[in-house]
Amino acid sequence: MTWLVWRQHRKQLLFGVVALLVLGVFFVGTGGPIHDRFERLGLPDCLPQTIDATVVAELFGDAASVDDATAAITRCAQTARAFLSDYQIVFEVGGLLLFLPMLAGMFWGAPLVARELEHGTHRLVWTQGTSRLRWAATKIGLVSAAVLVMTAVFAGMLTWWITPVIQTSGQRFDFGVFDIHGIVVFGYTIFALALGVFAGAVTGRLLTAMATTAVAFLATRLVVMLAARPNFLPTETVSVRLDPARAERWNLLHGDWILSRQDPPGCAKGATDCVDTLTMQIHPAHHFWTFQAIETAIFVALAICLVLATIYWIRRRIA
Amino acid sequence: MSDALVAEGLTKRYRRTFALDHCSLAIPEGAIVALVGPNGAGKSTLLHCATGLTRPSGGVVRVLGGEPGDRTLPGVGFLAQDAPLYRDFTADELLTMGNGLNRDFDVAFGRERLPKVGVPLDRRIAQLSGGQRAQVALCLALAKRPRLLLLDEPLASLDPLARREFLSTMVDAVAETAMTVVLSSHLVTDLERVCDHLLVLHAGRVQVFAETDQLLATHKILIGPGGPRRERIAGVDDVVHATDAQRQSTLLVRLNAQALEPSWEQRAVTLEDLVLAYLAANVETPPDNRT
Repeated sequence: MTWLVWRQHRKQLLFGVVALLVLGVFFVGTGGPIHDRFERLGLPDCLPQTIDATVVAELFGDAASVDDATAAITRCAQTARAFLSDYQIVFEVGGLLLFLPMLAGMFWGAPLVARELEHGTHRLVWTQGTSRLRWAATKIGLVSAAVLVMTAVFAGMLTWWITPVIQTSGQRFDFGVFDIHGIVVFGYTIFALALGVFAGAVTGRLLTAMATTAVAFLATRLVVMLAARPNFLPTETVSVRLDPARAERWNLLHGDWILSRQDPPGCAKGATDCVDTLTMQIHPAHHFWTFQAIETAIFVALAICLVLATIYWIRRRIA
Repeated sequence: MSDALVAEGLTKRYRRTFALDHCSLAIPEGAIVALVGPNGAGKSTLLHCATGLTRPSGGVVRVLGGEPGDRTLPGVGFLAQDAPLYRDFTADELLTMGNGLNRDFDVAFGRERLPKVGVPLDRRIAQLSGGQRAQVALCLALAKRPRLLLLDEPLASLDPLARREFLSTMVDAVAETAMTVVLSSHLVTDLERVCDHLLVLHAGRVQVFAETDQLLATHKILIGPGGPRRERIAGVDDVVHATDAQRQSTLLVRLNAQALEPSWEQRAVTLEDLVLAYLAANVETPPDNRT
């Protein structure tokens, strides 16, 4: 059985490894300079003390610096902003990589059963001396294991590549940033794979299964991202006394997920002598891994349901 | 003596149409059955029910004493219609696959047999002819050393020479064992020489199931005067099919033990005559074999 799975999927495995090598060369080639520059600019040292680059810029403009104590911090913020705008491309490439799990579902998952049904070879393989349960379990198990190993390599490379940019922006919760690093990538990949296998088994047609996988994957991702994720944990309310002279207080917000913000009415943009209170609904930065775990758990649970449904379908339904 | 394949009231429904309509039959062990019927008669459905690929909507089917499923799989060799094989595998790789998926798989049989019938082991299936593919598929099913061999239209796409080679591979293998074989085809002429039972399906129902020798002995073609027949012909149990012309009638009849009316000229029947007569009889007067 193991031999059969290897023999049937070795070409896909080869494509996967080649794709990883290409991505690896890209990540190392472009990631090296990013890391170098990150170090050279002194960002790893100054970022922990600096203010939130984006929030301060929005509220105060570049005139935020008022005394020597905050001057260094402000310089760091400016450097960070320059660094970010230079490497905006990282986010764009990262946006493309959002779709990689979907491709795993389309090109690894969907053909798993659909191609057998399309070519009638299920009548060959399901009438040997091995039960369909064992066939499905071995095939799905081995392919999933291979895909997870490849995902680990991919996610590792990607995380290393994108870390300087994420550290600089601090916005780990942003849509498109939260989704391409950490453990959620495993959740998405295993979900996409299970979705592909299920769609293939139910439709029995490769192209239909691939299209269904793409649409269902994107729909599920969007629903979870936009509707479910903000409610994983109750939000916290933070009130900050705005005082440009003591801007390091903003450190509190570095990396938090700000869901809503009531701008203080009394402060005009660019004002330097304004003291007011800003109230925000946030998910604090230290909840990041809890959020990652919850999101991963949701997709792994969905994947398990899909695999069970597929096995039921294979054993009971398909003629 | 047990039966290799038993169906009782076996029914398979697809929405509104019946693929199998209350079929009942019992195929004894060691029989070689020609399963004949027009397209859509339910031949494939019957075989799929026996392999466990299809679940019946009603009735019972048992193979080798058990319900078709994981436990009967090792004893049943199946060659599906159009001989599906992994096209990018070589014949040798398919044998390796069979070895991995079956407990007692006879790889040596396949590696020995295939080159003898002109199938290179190291060539991809996609590059083989239809006849060679059929041989590979048959060898895979035979190497499983099954007690029941089910072949779904294995001859349909083969030329006459390939048909003969295919059947001779099958007959050789069957002769060595007490294997039960069910071989479906829409043409009975191919199977006449190798089968000892005839099973005719029509519109999902069993039309005929009997030993061929007995069928040939108890059926005759009678040729006699035309015009309406009012009385029963002595020695005739039933007229299966009649072609009445003005001057002459040709009847295919089932005989009983009595002496045959001498005014009719009699001829022996072939299996093909029988199949055609029973299929035609169904069209004219559908016998109701539902219980």
